[in-house]
Amino acid sequence: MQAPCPLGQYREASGYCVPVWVAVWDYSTHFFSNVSYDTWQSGQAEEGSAGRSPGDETNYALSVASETASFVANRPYWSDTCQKTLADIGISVADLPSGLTADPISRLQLAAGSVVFLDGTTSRAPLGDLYTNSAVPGLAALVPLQTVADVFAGSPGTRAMTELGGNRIWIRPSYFNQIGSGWAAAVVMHELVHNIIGLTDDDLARNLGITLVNGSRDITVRLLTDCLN
Amino acid sequence: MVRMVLLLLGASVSLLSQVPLDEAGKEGVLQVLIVDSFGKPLQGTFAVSVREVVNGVPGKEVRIAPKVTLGYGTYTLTVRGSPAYPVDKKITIDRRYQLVVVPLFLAPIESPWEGNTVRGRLPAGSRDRRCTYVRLLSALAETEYAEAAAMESGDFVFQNIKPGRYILVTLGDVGICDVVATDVLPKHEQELTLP
Ligand SMILES: [Zn+2]
Repeated sequence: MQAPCPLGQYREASGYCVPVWVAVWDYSTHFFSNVSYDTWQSGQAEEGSAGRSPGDETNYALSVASETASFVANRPYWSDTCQKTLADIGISVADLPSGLTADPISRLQLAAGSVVFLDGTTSRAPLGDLYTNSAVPGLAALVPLQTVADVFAGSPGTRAMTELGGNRIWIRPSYFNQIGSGWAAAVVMHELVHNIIGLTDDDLARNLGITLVNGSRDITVRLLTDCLN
Repeated sequence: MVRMVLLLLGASVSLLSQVPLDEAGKEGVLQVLIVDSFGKPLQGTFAVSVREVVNGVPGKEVRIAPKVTLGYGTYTLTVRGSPAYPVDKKITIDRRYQLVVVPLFLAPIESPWEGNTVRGRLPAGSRDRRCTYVRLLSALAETEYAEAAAMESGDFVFQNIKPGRYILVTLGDVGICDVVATDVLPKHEQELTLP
């Protein structure tokens, strides 16, 4: 197995590690600008979430997530590369009840229009609820008897969780208040993919032909690279 | 319980045997039985596929039904069913009817996600005999196992264990001290009781 790329880099198909460029969405100009991962990280550290009460922090983060979903739902231009990546990841062309046919990006945008964001750190929803719409529901019986909040508390690296085949996304507010808008869009897109096709990270990675070295984050980096740059 | 495990492992060993050359052109029925990590048959929507391996090189992936007729030969069988980890298994079709049991382990939606923590303590007799090397082996999948060294007190801990049926073995210079069948339940933490 190849050694993982340093933080802020990803492995291209050529096998070389190259820097990740982070697309930062400017809400005043409505354009992305690309900055290096290091620049973006140092910007986040300065920005932080200082001065907000926990309640404000949650509300702010939920509004950031909703605005991000709204951006995904309404963005008019998506590249062919992105369309192909979403198809590779498992979002097929589908017939809608209206009689129209939706391509992968349209399905992503439809999902973005109906998503509901919740605070994962306080949610009493049973973890098993996130699995009930999956392709093999019997496996939900093997999910630990924990709440979503238990998982967020026990796994600090979890920044967002999604129900398979539903429309709910649980977020970690402190994380959403720190990340840039381009990265937030990639995280939301990642979670929407779980909503739409009901597959776990291991299945998504396999569909993309990648090995998860940094976990979930590697899928988000791929979406950022192919769809938001 | 242990007998069932040995039978399953025996079945998978015979599947790996080579196809004699004079059996080229023959066909056999493959039946894939998909179970959970406790051995309970699963219902749902699965993606089952094979890739024929010729001269060590896997060919094109072909979707199959859980019961299918295949030519004699070696294949990589892949079973996927969300929310489980995808499973790849090398099989050889060399009989008219073959059954392959594929256990699926629950996968987290977001990766990585820590699984169960399993704690236990060596029986006093095993500790005295220095059987301090502990292995936790899945009863159904040879790829799922964990190893730990017990502390001076006899306490040991396994982390990130997927729920399922396991065999716990304690070992030392004297050989095997304990063999215990146990279930790792879908809880976050649990205590194993050894006799
Ligand atoms: Zn994910």
